[in-house]
Amino acid sequence: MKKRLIASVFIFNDKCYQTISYNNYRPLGDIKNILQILDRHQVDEIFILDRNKNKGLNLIILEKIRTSKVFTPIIYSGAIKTCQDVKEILKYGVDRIAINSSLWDEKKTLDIIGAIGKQGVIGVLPFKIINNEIFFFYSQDRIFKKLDSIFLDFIRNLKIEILLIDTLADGFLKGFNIKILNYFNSSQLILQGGVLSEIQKFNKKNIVGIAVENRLLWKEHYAINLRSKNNFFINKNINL
Amino acid sequence: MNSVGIIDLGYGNLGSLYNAISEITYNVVVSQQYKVLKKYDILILPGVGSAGVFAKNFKKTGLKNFILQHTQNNKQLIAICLGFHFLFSFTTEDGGVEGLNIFPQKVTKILNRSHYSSRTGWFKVSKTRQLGIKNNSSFFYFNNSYGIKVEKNNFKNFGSSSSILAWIKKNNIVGLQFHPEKSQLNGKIVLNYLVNR
Repeated sequence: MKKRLIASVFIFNDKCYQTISYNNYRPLGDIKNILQILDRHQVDEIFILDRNKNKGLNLIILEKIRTSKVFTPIIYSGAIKTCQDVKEILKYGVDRIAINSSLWDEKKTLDIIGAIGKQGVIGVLPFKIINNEIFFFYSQDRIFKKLDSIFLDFIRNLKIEILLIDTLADGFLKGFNIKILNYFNSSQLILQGGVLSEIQKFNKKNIVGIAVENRLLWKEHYAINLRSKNNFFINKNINL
Repeated sequence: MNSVGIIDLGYGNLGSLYNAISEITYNVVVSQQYKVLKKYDILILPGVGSAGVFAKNFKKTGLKNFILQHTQNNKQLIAICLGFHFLFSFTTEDGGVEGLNIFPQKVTKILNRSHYSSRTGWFKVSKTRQLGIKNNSSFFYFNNSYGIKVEKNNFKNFGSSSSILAWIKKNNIVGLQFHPEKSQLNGKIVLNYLVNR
C-alpha cells in the first residue's frame, strides 16, 4: 500500500499556528485559506488538530471548515467525547475524526468506534521519550502521562490508525525517535515530527502515512517534490 | 439541471457531500423525510460509519421501500461507500446486516493482513472513462474495511481497484466504493458526470 502525504494543521484558540517542539507558537493565518491552499496542493489528507480553550466542540472552526468547501479528505481532532459529537462534526465537511483524551476511556473510545467504524477513527498520540521513558500527551489536562502497559495493549488491540507525534522533534526536519515504533509493530501508523530529512527510514509496511506540519503550506511545490523523490508516496500526476 | 436529495442516515459525512454536490447543482437537500426527498430527481445514499448503526437508522427512517420505488420509477440512485454496500444482499460487518439486494453478492472483510485494518488512501480505479474521466485508470480516495471482491464474471458493468469492486452500474443505479466528494478533481468530474448525465 502506498503511503499518504498528510498535511497537519494546528489550531489554538481559533487561530492556526506553526509549532516548534509542540510549544512555540508562530501564527500562520486563517484556517479557511490554509485548507484551500492545501487542497490546491492536492495533499492526500488534511489533519486538523484543534486545541480550543473551551471544553465543547469548536463550532467557529467547524463552520470555517464547512465553508472552505475543499475536496481533500479532512480528519478533525478536538474535544470529541461522545457519539453525538462525532455525528455533529461530520455535518461540517469532516470525513474522519481523531481522538486523544478519549483514548484513556475505554468505553468512550469503543462507543465512538462502534458508531463511525474503525476506518473513520484515528488515535492521536503525541509523545516524548526522555531517558528511555515514554510519555504520552493527554490533551484534556495538557499533561504528559507515563506509558503504562494496560493503556498500550488497549490502543494496539483497537486496530485503528495511530498518529504518533514526536513532540520533541515537532517542527524540525529530523529527530523522530524511532524507539517508539517498537511498541506499535502491528499497528497502522502515521508519523509526524522530525521525519522529513530521513524519510526513507520510515519506508516500513505498517507506516501508512507521513504527516507534515508547515512546509507543505509555505514551501512552493513541496508536496510535488516529496512525492517525486520518494516513490512510496502516491503520485497522482498533479497539475497545479 | 437535475436536483439531488442526499439521504441523512445519521453518521454520513453529509457536510462534505453537500458541499461537493452544491458545486454542481443549486437544487440539493439533505433530509431523512420521504416527503422531502421524493421531489428530487437523484437520490444519494451516502455512508461513513459502521453497518450496524447505518442499518438501524435505515430501518428507523423507513426509507427502504421509497428508495426501491425511486429506482423502479427510473430515477437515479447513487450509493457511496457504506451506502454502496447496502446495494448488495448482505454484509458480514457488525455480525451481519441485510442490504437492499439490488446485487446478489455479499460484502466481506477485505483485509486480513495484520498491518492493515482498513484500506484508506488513494488507489487507482479501472474503466474510469465510463464515469466521465478522460483517463481509463484514475486515482480516487477510499476509506473502508469491508468491500466486494471481484471474481471472474460476477459483474458486468464495473471498475475495480486491486481486485476490489470500485464502482458498479446497473440501469439507473450507480454504486461507488470510493468517495468522489473527497477525490479532488477526479471526484468533481465523476459527480458532475453522474448528476448531469
